[in-house]
Amino acid sequence: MSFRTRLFIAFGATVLLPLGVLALGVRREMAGRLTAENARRADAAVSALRDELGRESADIAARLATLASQLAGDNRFRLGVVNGDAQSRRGLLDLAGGAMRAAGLSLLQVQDSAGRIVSSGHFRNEFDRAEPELPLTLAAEGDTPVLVRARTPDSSLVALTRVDSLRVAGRRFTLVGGTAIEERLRGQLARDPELSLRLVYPRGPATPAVGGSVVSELALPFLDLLPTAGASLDTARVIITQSGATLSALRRSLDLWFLAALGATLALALGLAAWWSSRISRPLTSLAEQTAAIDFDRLDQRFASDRGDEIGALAGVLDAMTERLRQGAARLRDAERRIATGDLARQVNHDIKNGLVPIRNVLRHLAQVARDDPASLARVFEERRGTLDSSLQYLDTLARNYARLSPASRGGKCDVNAVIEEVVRGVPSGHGELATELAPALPPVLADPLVLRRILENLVSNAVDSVSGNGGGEVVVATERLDPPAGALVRVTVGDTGPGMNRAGLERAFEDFSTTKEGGTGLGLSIVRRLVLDLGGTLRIETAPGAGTRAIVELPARAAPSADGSPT
Amino acid sequence: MTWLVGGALAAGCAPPHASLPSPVAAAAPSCLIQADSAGAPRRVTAVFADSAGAERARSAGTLETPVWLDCEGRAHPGLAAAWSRDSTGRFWTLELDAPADHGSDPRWTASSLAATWRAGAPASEALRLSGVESLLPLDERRLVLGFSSAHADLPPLFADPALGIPRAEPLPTTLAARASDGDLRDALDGGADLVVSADPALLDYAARRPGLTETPLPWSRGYVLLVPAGRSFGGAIPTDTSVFRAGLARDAVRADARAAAAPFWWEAAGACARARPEAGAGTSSAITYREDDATARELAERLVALAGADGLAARAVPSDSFAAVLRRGGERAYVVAVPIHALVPCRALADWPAGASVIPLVDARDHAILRRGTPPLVVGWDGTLRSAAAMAPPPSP
Repeated sequence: MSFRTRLFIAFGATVLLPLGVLALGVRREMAGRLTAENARRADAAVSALRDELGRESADIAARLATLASQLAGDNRFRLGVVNGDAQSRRGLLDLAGGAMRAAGLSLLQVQDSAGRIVSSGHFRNEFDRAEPELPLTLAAEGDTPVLVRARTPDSSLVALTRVDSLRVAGRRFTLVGGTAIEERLRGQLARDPELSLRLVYPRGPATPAVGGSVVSELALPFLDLLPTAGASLDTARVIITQSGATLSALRRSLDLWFLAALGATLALALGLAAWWSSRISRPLTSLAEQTAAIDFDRLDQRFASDRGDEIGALAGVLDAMTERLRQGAARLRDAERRIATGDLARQVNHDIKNGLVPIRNVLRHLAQVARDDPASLARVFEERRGTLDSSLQYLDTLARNYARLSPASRGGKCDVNAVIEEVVRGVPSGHGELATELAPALPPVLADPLVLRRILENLVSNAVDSVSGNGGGEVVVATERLDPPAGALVRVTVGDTGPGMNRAGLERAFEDFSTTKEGGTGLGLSIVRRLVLDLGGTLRIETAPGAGTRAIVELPARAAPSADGSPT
Repeated sequence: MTWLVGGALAAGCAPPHASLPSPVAAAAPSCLIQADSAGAPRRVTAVFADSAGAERARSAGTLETPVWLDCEGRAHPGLAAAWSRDSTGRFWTLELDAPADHGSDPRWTASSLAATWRAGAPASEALRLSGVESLLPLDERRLVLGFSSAHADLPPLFADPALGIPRAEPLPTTLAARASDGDLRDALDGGADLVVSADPALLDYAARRPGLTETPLPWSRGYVLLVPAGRSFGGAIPTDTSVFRAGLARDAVRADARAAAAPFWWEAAGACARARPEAGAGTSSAITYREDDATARELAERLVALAGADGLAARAVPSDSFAAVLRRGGERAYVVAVPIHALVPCRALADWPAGASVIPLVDARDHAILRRGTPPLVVGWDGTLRSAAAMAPPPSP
């Protein structure tokens, strides 16, 4: 895992974890408080419901008592009871309806002592039916509110019911009255939209269940007067449920807001983390890449930074180190040059001495002949003239070779491909196959074309000689452009399929005057390396016995050689 | 009271004697009703408790049928000033009224009347269901109708509103009839000449107000329980006993009612019933009644109370959709108001569910409350009121 990734994850986690913990905490705390509050409201509503049932029951009883008192003195009722004529009977049948509406009741029955309905308010035409169990049950329950499900013409009615009685004309009558309770109970709970009520009867349909949790339950005596019920006292349950919709809605809203906040924070945090980690790691990556590019021949890396932090300090240290390496390399090259110059001087001295010795000997011989036998001087001169010519030719060759060691450099843009083509054209045929693989649109290098030609002539000549001595082969000269971070380079590769070299042979190849070729000076690769370094480039040889040799030259594409040979 | 045309009302679909009931009880009110102090002929403002009564009264003032039957079944000239039959009793000739004599549209001739009847769906259906096989104009004023069976007396078809022709202009003595839109006592106190209702509370109120006379109208409608084919209802209820019917009329219904009295015109209309398609089976457990009919509601509620079946309930159906609900026959049963007399029984049966059992319950009638000074009125065969001044005397036999 990269440093940048770690930084990214750490930054994200640092932001997200506390926010998540905060969201969970707030949600939990809010849910707890709301649940407790809802429980208090439910308890209060249930208590109010019980009170309402008690009040309503007492109110019904009071209204029935008033009705009983009025009916006892009502002539229409008495005539209906006493007279048998149609008009009185019709008046009696209609009486309960008017009384029920006037008393604000939903259910009213007047029964005689046998339990026969003599007048009904909620179901006018149910007269003469016998329902004796209704007043008997209600009387047995006393003040306890009783729910009664009674038939109506078009459906049924559940009413909170009480009973009373009166005597008229020596006959006892019972009054059963009540009010529809379901809507009333719901109205009681309607003030709290969270609470809902469901009545569950022993038989028959219950009011439909609604979602939510049951918070309380009331049991009430229940008498079902529907035809199939059997008219026995049972228990109905008033179930109060709490929907929790507000709590759920609040939770959903809270979750949404926290998710939105979390999302926004996440996006911001990850963006910041990406930007910051990239900003932190980029100079380190750059330093690593620059450091990886440092080589003895590539000490042109600059680590200078204006940062004042640790990375700036590290860059400064690396820059100072590179500078020391550069100075050391310059000193080393200078020392090498001095050593090479001293060696060369000694070699020149030695070579000239070697060239002068035959000449000196010939001249001493001729002086002796002139002194001792002047007549044969011409003959002896002719005899020794070959020696003189040979020595002079040797010295001349030596002088030309040494002249090559100090070329005059002429900077400028140089087309590498053009120079290669010129060099290849100058190679005589019959020395193996020579081919080129030149990259198009190659950038120019800053070099003296003559110097570059000398470098390439040497390398191509060595390669051609290598394959010629090996009984033939192939020489390929190729160019390509390189784009390392430190700057563009032009690479020239001269490869051959010759015999190659072992490690010792490779080390000797760069020594002056070391040659394996007949008539060679042994200065070729040594000169090439110096010339390449002077151009700010690098030279390396890849070779192995039997695998041929590849000489690789890399020159900066836009670097002009400075006076000390380092690129600027 | 004697029904002069009583024996021939159901010609073509039932035995002749079954169309109109036999003469009603002798105690039935006269067809002529008038206040204590009747006034000169004029336009009468009338308010009806139900929209159907008001509509019938309006139609009576705007439509002219060939003849008009009063509540005793006596035929009075309408479009036809006179009528006669051949010796077989199968061909009846109507002699149209002269335009100037009776206010009819002068453009109507025997040919145009025949063409109008043939083209109009209600008229052509009434003619077909009454067994009319031919319509032959003899000249401009005489139209011969050929029946499939003989009619000894004037066929009641000639008084059917389906054969009615709109008057060119309403008679000046036509009732200005409207249905009540609220408390009928307001109509009384507002000066209406005539209020027609069956509400005993209203009658009681009118009896205590000066200048008003209350008269019971003839028994004009019956209430029956229709149980569609395949459904059963109230086996425990003795719906076919006169005691049961009398109990309904006395206690369950607040209107002026009596136990339904035979004969019943639908009992002689079996051929019509067989011609109609069977109704689909329903799943409802309701006794259905027309929403604006209080008597039907009270009867339905009483039946529910007595049946004691679980889930059985009385259900009101809006007036404008009741006919369609009845034809579908999907309910457990229906309490339906039917006319006491049917001029074309087969057409009346067309609105009932096919194959339904018919249980007569009660007969009911309205009461007319007349203001002093209101011109005399005549009650028609279906309880319709019209001004006595608009009546022509029946032609001599």
